[in-house]
Amino acid sequence: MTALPEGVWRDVVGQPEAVAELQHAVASPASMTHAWLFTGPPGSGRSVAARAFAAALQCPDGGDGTCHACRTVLACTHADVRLVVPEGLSIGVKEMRTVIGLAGRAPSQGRFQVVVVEDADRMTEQAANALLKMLEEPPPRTVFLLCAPSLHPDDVSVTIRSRCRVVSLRTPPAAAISEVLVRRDGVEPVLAQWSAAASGGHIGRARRLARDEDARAARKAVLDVPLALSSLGACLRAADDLVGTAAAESAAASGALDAAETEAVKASLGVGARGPGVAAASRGAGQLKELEKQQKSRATRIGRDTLDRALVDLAAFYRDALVIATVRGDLARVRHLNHPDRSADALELARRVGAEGALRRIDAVLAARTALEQAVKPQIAIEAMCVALRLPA
Amino acid sequence: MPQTAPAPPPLSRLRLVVGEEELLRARAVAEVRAAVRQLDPDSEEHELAAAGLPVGDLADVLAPSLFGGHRLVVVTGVHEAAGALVDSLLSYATDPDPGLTLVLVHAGGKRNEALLQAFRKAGAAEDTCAKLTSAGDRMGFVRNEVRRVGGRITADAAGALLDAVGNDLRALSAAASQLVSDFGGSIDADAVARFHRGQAEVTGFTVAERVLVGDSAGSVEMLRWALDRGVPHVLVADALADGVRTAARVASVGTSNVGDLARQLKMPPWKVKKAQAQARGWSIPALQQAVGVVAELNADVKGVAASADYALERAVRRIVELRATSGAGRGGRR
Repeated sequence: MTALPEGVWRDVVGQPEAVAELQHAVASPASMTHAWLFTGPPGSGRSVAARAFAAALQCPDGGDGTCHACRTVLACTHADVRLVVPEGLSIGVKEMRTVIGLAGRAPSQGRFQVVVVEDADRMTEQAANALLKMLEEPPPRTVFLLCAPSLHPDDVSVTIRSRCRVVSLRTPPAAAISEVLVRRDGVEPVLAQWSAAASGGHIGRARRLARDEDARAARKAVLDVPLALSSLGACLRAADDLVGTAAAESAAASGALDAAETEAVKASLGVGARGPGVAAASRGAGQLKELEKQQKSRATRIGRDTLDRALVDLAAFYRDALVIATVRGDLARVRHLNHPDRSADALELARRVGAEGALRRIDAVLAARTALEQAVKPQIAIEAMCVALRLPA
Repeated sequence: MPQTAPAPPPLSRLRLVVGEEELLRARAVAEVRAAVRQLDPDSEEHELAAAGLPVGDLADVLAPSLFGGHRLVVVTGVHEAAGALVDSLLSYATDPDPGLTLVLVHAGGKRNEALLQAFRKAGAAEDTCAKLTSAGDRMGFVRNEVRRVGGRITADAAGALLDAVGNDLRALSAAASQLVSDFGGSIDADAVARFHRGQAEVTGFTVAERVLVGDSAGSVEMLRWALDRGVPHVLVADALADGVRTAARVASVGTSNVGDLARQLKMPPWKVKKAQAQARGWSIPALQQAVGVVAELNADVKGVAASADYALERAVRRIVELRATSGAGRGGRR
């Protein structure tokens, strides 16, 4: 492995080329531009790289990681760095317009006014068009950093893409992930290696697997599914479990947030206030309704993300089975497995469904992912998938 | 109208009219009013809405009259009455005026239930106007309506009328009296068919039922009625998915004992029974394919297909066909 990146770049895992390019841009003003587009597979650290770049831009020393500017940017509190992080399903035009208004200002203390749009693929068409206007005629000291999974027109419109310089990140190698888990999160080296290998190159997922017992249990439950689908009843039960887990996770995650948010809005509207001179809090209905809408959108997103994670694991597992089937079950000839700890199960699966069957099942899983994006009811989509995954008799 | 108990004589001093069915409530009040008028053609009548009614206004109409004669006071919507109004009604109930009939109209439910209890204890007569939930009750209502205006109706004619007009009692009552006046008393299915045709109450579930039992013509007919009536595409698609899923569940479990199934699948027994009837004639492979069809349909009605109407009809036909072909290979049931 080459020398580890220093300063703010330390957490940009396994991306030496990208880091070198960004460092060069910070060091020599001639190679700087006003709009950057970070692409890479989920979990490759797009937003981490964008934040590190923002810190390096604001830092007088080009990102040493110790000064006030670096620390505040990395903690998301720098006055001249704006983060757009969608909590719900999309970034709307209204949100984008406020951000653009702020982006037009001169930097107050730093060297640049930086806007980081995480998940730029979630921008609605109108929001993207509003942003496009800004990218076409940018103010002199404003920099936009957009993050998206790929350059596909579904993710980023061609008009925006053509105005950005692209920084593409690759799937970080497992060794780099386990190194960062040990160094940053203090995970046991053995566990770090295991979770880095099981995560499929997704840093955040590797971290969760390493630190969260429930996440490991959930992954095991998902990977147990393929070999359990022996009858129609089993398929329907498996679908119920998958959907139920996602719903429970969504309820748990959003329940904690929702109540506090609603209370805060009610308090600011004066609901339940007593005493003379307190007008009845009859005006807040609209605001509360708006909040409920946002919360619902967020809950939907959490549920979908959970399901999507399970589907990605499943697809990777069938891919393992496919690879094993193509080398006729000779595990020694397989160089890389997505789930190395489940190689025995993958072998059994390969024996039962064969290469063609595995390929068809990968298709079924990916079709279910598409269906979820098209807002098909999760239960219906997952049931159809499980039925398609059923093992041959 | 299901006449469970003989109606109380209309002229008691305290009366309650309680229930969700608006038509029946209006009728009960009208009966009381008629009785009062019969007793005293010059009687004073007041009708007040309880919501936002000042206590003073109520006290005005309840105070003894200078001119004598019988009086009628109707307070509508007492479930919405404010606390002060309830208190003054309660205090009136302890010592009601013999020359006055006070009718409280309550739309059912838990609100201000204590007021009703207190009136019952004070000896108020009560008309219950509960919602007619079962088809049998509605059938009885139609028959009663026809009888009220002096006609007779056959059972199949009443059924056809219910199908065509729907569950709204006012509409049913109007249709019944119209039919009697048009056909002079005796109404049969042909008479109904001359003026009323079609399906007023079609839901996604109606469609799903027909589809699952493999009624090819019937299911398409019901689907078109549903779309014509403005049932959202998504609801029909969901009902189809639900029907297929339930049938698949029931068919995939080894036992056919209703109690066991209800426990295992966490469904009410009536639903299990219905699903068992619908699962008959399906093979497991056909059900699996049907699950795929409804999943595709769900995406289609949410914007994937160019025409949701077409997508629905195609899915309905495909599912019916799946069942028909699976009937031949029933040995393949695993």
